[in-house]
Amino acid sequence: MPIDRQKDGELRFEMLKLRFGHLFTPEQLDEIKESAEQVAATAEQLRKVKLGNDDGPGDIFQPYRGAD
Amino acid sequence: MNSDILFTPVRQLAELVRTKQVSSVELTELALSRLETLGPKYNAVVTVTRDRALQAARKAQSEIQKSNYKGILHGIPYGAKDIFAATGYPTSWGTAPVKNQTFDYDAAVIERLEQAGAVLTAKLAMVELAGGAGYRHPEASFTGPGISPWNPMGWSGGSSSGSGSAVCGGIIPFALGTETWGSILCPASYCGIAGLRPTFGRVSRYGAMPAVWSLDKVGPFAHTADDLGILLQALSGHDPRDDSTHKEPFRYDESKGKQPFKLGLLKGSTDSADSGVKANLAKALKQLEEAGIATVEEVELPDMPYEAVATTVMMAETASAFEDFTDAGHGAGLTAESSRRRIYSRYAVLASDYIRAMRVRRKMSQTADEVLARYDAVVGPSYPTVAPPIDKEFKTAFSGKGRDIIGALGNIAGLPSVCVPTGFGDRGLPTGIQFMGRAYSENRILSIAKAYQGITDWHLQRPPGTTD
Repeated sequence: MPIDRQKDGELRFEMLKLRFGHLFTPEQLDEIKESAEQVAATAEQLRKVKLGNDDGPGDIFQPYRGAD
Repeated sequence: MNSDILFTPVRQLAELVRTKQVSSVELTELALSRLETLGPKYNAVVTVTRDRALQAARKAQSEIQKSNYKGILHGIPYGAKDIFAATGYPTSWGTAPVKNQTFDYDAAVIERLEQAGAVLTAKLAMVELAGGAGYRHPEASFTGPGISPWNPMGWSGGSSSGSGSAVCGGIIPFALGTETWGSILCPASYCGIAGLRPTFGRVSRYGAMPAVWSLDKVGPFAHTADDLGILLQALSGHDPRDDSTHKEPFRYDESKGKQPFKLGLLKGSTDSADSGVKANLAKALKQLEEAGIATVEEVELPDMPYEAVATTVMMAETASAFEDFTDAGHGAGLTAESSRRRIYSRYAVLASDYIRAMRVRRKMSQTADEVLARYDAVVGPSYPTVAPPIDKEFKTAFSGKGRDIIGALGNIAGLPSVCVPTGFGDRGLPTGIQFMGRAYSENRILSIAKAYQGITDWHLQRPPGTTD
């Protein structure tokens, strides 16, 4: 089911507001809201790319072993 | 000594030093003098490392006089972006709240150049946090907007702003910078010099401010592609302190390479470019074809969200890299007003967004390699515009400008790209061409850039007010 971009942006903004809201004026928060909406729009673009379960990420964790 | 000498390519300058026609101390003193006089004119310098430079130059001169010549970089002055730690001096990251921080060690690249006998003369200006706060204005540095020596109202580009303008202005013969997304090619293009973004992992980032671990690269600026090859050889190699570094060192191949090179002109790469950028690119490709250096055909990449992947990876990793910075409340101390808030928007990227971006990134990297395998290089403008005015927001200056597929793909796939100047466009500002190759194909793309510089003289042009 597609995610509503506007709602997605609002949720992301609420997350930012919870953590950092005390640092900003209402006008500044509007600007942060705009940025959160841009992040949601970018995420939407990524979700449009078809990926299979076997399409792994670019970086793979490698176990570390120091000198013996 | 005539100040023109600092415009001399490193290879020729080295010969003058080796044959004792010029001393390292003379060159260094001239560079220090120009850093102190011209440097502020371009907002290019954070710290002049005078004492360290003179000490290193005297040492180099003494060694050379005793016929203990170390190689091409011995005794040659240079500057490093102020993202690299250097003992004895602050490392500001271009960022006001941390501008006095110091590290008691040298970055790996400073160590390597010291071993080669090169002389560090300055820590150069940069965009705050290397652009990791999401800047939207040339003023995003506590040293002021970097200025292109070609036009006092033109931005020198970012984030390696001072590295671009100091080489362009003949202040130092070469400089070091870093690129996460555009930070070497943009200033090189805006300043009309040569810049090399090496393959991810070619050069150790130990001692450089991490912004985006999976995207950050270190690379050189100079006047010629030949110098870039010399410099990459000195800089590259495995470093156990940086897990990303490639096991095999880079060995510069000085030969011409196998001509004609097969070039793919990326379809759509000039759609949103300035008219001057577009015209100069077309002329450059025609010159390469007519000289028998290259054949050119159009190449198309699949329509994918290249910029969305680069943006998401950048935002997610900078959120983590600068979490201590933001938690300490330093965001409020950023120079760029809008960045004081934009830096917080990074925390709106979800883990699932980041992992999806990394999965799409892998597909894109494979696709890019399949396309690039058919060519010696993919070409496009080194930047689609000439330098914007220093007093305008990018959204105003770049109004109507389109995508940056070659820049986004090149960085997310960790591919090498070299850019050299192609002439001048709007407001007398430089334009450039970039040659992007498969991973670890630096020798091939450098051969193409060298061949182009062999039939043009844009790299010999000097900005007004920079020579005696």
